[in-house]
Amino acid sequence: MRANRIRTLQVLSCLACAALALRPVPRVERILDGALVTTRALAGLAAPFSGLGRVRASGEEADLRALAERDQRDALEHAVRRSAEPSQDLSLNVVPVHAEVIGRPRGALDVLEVRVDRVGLVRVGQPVVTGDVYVGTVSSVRLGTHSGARVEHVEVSLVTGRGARIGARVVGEDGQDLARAVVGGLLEPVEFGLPDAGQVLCVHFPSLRSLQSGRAVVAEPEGVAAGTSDHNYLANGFELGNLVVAEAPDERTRQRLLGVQAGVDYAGGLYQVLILTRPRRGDAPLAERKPRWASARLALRADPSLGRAGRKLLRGSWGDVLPGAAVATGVRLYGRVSRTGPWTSDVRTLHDPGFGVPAIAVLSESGGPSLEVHVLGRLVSLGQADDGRLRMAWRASLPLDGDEPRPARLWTGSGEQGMDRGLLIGDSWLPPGPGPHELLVDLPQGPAEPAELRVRLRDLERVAKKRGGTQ
Amino acid sequence: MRSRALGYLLLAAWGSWLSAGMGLAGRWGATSVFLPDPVLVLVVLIAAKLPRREAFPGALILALARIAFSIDPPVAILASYLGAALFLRGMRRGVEIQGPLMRGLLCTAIVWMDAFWLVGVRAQRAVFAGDGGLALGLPGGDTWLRAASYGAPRALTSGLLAMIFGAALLRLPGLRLLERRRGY
Repeated sequence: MRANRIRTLQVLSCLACAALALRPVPRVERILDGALVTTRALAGLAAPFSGLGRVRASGEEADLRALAERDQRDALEHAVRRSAEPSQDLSLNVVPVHAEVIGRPRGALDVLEVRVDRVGLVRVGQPVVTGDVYVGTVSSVRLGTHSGARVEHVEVSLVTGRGARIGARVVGEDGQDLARAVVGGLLEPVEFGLPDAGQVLCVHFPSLRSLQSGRAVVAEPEGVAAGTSDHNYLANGFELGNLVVAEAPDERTRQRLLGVQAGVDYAGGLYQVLILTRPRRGDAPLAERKPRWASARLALRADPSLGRAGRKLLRGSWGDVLPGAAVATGVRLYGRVSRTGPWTSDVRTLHDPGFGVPAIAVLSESGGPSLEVHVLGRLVSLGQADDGRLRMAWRASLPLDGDEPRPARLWTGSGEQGMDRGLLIGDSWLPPGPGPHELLVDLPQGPAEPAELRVRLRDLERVAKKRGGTQ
Repeated sequence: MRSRALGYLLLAAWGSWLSAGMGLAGRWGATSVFLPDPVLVLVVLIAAKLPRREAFPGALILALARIAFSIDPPVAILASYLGAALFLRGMRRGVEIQGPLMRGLLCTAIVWMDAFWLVGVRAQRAVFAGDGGLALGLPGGDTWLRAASYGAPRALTSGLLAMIFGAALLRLPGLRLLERRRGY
């Protein structure tokens, strides 16, 4: 009787594991990770093999190359910050505040979480832009600390959200007003004959339906109405995108749908934004942000699973490692943490199929260096090619202009938890035109395993209080 | 009782070393698909040849050893290893599976199913996470056919390993401690 019960329990536990494997339940997986801490001891049994396969960089040439890569990363940082700034001077009544995109709260695609180093300027309802393009509105502001410095965590509701609306005017090539409309929310790009990867904003209540082309720019009435927190008029003149007209009339209204082809990749191409604020006396000084890193030790520089390129990191959530954290060697990206247990973490390397990373390309001109930055959005690894290079899928939501492929150096972008901008991925040729494209990437370290690795740690930040509503 | 505990401890050590060895050997590139899976072979051998009540704890220990080095979801590895052990334990009631040919065939089938299962779990989880089939990254053809063909070379070599060296694997130091029947 007892043996039967044990057998039944064994079968049930096996079936439960199978069900959880196919349909993960995060809370149960966390409990299981806690129960599996014993595997840390088993990983320690292979300590004699843990160093096998690594290659220690040596020589003056390697040092010079590392220095050059650091210089390029610094230059990239300046270029990206500059790319977030508008091409024309702002009004004297507007103070732009740089903000770093750090993720999407609760997985909501239409909301950005950004970190602002200048405390006290940002208010709910203020517009958010990148370059010359309007992207959304501040929806909440929380005060916190980051690496000992006071920062603000700001949520931005993107213009792609279902309920997002912004006043706009459509202007012709000569700058003449053609119509007024309200823009917000997304439409299916296929209705406009555009590829799936494109993003088309919905045009509501256009004052003229027969529009064929034009450029939509923000046009909100100036002045804050009493009791409201709408400061979007600060973004007047910023672009929303180019007007597009649906190929076939809408079945319900029998009218041709109008849309605005987005000027930025809202899904994966926003790393650095500007919040347009009003000037105030006694602005807080800019706080310097220093990400935390620690040296990383691997259980083994290999993965026994067929077709995978993962590693077990001997540091877990108790050591401040979070899912999504970057693992790097020098300024080169090695992989990202995909799952954390209390003492160990899983690292997906660049060669692991399905590995994803936000990326920026610095385009070269005829082999020479340049600082033309192109935001790529999310690149997804397709594994190693036969020639040892890395295959990566690029959706090309923002396609590259031109007729010829262009050489580019790929760097990580920010905007995802644990991922810092400016880690080197490799060199590739970017094809022009709409995607998806497959890129072949030359990794700077080749297939060799680096000797020293470091992992990005959780930011030491504590939310002190929440601020919201009209301020 | 102490000898069994020591047997389990040594099984865990062998499982860890075999997993690590398999991972390191897998870095040889294209030929890695032909490398056998000695850990899963050991699961089959324990379920087929050792006392039946050792099948489940043996598979559990070897699954933990594999989890220590693999980034595949732990529940997927547990389901695969425990499922194989329970299936073989049930099969032993009516079928003779201790012979080299039978254990070779069973090993081939189980390793192939394991590869198929893990690729399926990855695909399912990628869809669940919104990455779609893009995350699978296997070359050409339909996903399930690809998954099936992907594990076939490893399954065949694992079957050969079980058939030719199965008896030797069970003689690894410490594993004989698990062969002793428990006193009631």
